[in-house]
Amino acid sequence: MSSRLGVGFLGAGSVVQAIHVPTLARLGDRFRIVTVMDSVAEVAAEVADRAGARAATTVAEVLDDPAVDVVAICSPQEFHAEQVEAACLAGKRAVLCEKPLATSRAEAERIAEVAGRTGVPIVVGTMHAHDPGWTAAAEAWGDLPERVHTVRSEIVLPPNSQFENWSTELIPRPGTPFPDTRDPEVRAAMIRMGVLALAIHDLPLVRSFLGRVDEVDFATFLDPFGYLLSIRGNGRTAEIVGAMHGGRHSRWTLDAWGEDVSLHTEFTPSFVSAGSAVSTLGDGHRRTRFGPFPRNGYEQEWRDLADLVHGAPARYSLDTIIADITFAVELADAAVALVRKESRT
Amino acid sequence: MTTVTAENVDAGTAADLTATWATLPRTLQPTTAGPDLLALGGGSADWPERLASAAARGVRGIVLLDPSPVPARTVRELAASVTVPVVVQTTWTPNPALAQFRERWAAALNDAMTVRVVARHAGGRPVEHLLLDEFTLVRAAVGAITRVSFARLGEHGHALVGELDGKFVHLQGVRTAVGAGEARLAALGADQEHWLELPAPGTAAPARAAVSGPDGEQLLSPIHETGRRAMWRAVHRQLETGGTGTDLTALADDLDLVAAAVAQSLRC
Repeated sequence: MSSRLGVGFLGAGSVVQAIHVPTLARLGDRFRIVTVMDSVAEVAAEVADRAGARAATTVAEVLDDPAVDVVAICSPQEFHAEQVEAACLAGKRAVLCEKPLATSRAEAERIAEVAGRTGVPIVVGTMHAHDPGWTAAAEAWGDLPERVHTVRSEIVLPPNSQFENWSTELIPRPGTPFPDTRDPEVRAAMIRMGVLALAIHDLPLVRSFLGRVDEVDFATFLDPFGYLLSIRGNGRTAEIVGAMHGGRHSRWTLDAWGEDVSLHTEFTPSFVSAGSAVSTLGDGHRRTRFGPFPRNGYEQEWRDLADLVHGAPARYSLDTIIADITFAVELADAAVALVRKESRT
Repeated sequence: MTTVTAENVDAGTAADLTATWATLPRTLQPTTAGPDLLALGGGSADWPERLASAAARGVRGIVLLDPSPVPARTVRELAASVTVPVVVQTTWTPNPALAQFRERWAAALNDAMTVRVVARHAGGRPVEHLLLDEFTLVRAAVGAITRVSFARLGEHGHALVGELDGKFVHLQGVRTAVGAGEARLAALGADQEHWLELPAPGTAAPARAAVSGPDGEQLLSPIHETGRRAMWRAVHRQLETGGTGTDLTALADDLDLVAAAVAQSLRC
């Protein structure tokens, strides 16, 4: 039996091709890709071939494969919860689920029950929560979360395709037409997508300061794709901003401020292997910098998963990841409700 | 040589003015009576009366320092009656990078879709004053905000959403001692972003300003001059060239916005 963990992918889209396959190629001492499943047989075959793995077109083929120790769930988000449950019930050694872990509170509760009962560890692909530039600051910040009163998450990015093309050679797939964002229901759906597909990268970090969402005071969709949420939780406030554009530059930051303390984190873009974030903790007298470290959050989340399987304590407990996804889903639901209400008035 | 004096300023501001004027020894000559130029502290609510009185005494120009918010109507009436040039100085407006930022990229700024501002403020001043600082900053950098649609004002900071000539504007003000007095403004367009990072006033540390577009990032040359010194040079030039403009009308418009933000704000 190989000491390396066998990985089976559910879904073989751009995230798998541009992020996970290249990342696991750097972690060949810990992992080997054994099965790649995609509903499009040609995609499954080509990605599997690149990774020296077996191709599959059904979930069962992955879950029934005894060589698969770790199931990596990279399918469309509406399938995540049921596939996490199935992987846990199949007795796998661990699950890595791309964000979002679930799309509703009920799904999150079901995952909590099944994962708790089976004891299968879950790592969620919110890579910034695993980014060494973030975790080093978190280990050093002491009572910062209690002292912070204001938070800002800001994501300004060019299209994903730019970074995907710098990371791998993607298998072409037919594009989907951009929806008509003048339709209020489309805008509401886009807000939900903005929260659960983009903002979610940093929502666990925001939650480490706010704890919970008490109120979404303002929410809007920003053309051509973006969002602004102004929220309150636990006596603190947060501005959550995302904006995509057609240029080249990216700015991905997380700020937290208190009366005489601050945290500023600058993340590297998605997809590319550009090292870790850099975090700066400040007070009235000095600023302390953490990073950059050579590893990014993607690599670290796989390393954390391997350590977890081999008995190390979880960086994020099941309770924590369930609380994180509940925070995100409640935020998305409240934002959608507010956007719908605004469109009616 | 233009003579200058200060009125209605606290000790700290007086010291700043003395230090600033000392760097312009061939331009400004401090005096105690009958000055050409007056630096009028705006910290007290009676600054409009003081300004009107000073104008009537025959000064050739007035710099209104950091005015505290008063009713916009009062300022509009003042603007209609005062005939000498009045320059309004708020926290960030004197920074010389602002004018360069706007001048250099004005055409492209018109294409921006969203404007984002994050301002860090020291504690102590009322939120109305902080909003005025931010509105005057936005006006100087990218144009006047025309409407406020959301505001949440709190003990630790505020958030505000508005419109600027069809652009979406989002302001976040934070009360913190870390980096107090610093501000960042970014205007995002279809494929480029203009951004400006302003240091706390009073330092000669340069602002950083750039446009990031498909062809790369172009940085504005650094200007190691305090905003206050740059402003006094500009005021002097205005006097020399016989300028008569006044910032008071714009100030009145921004005070209207402050009132609108406060009137519709969530308080938390």
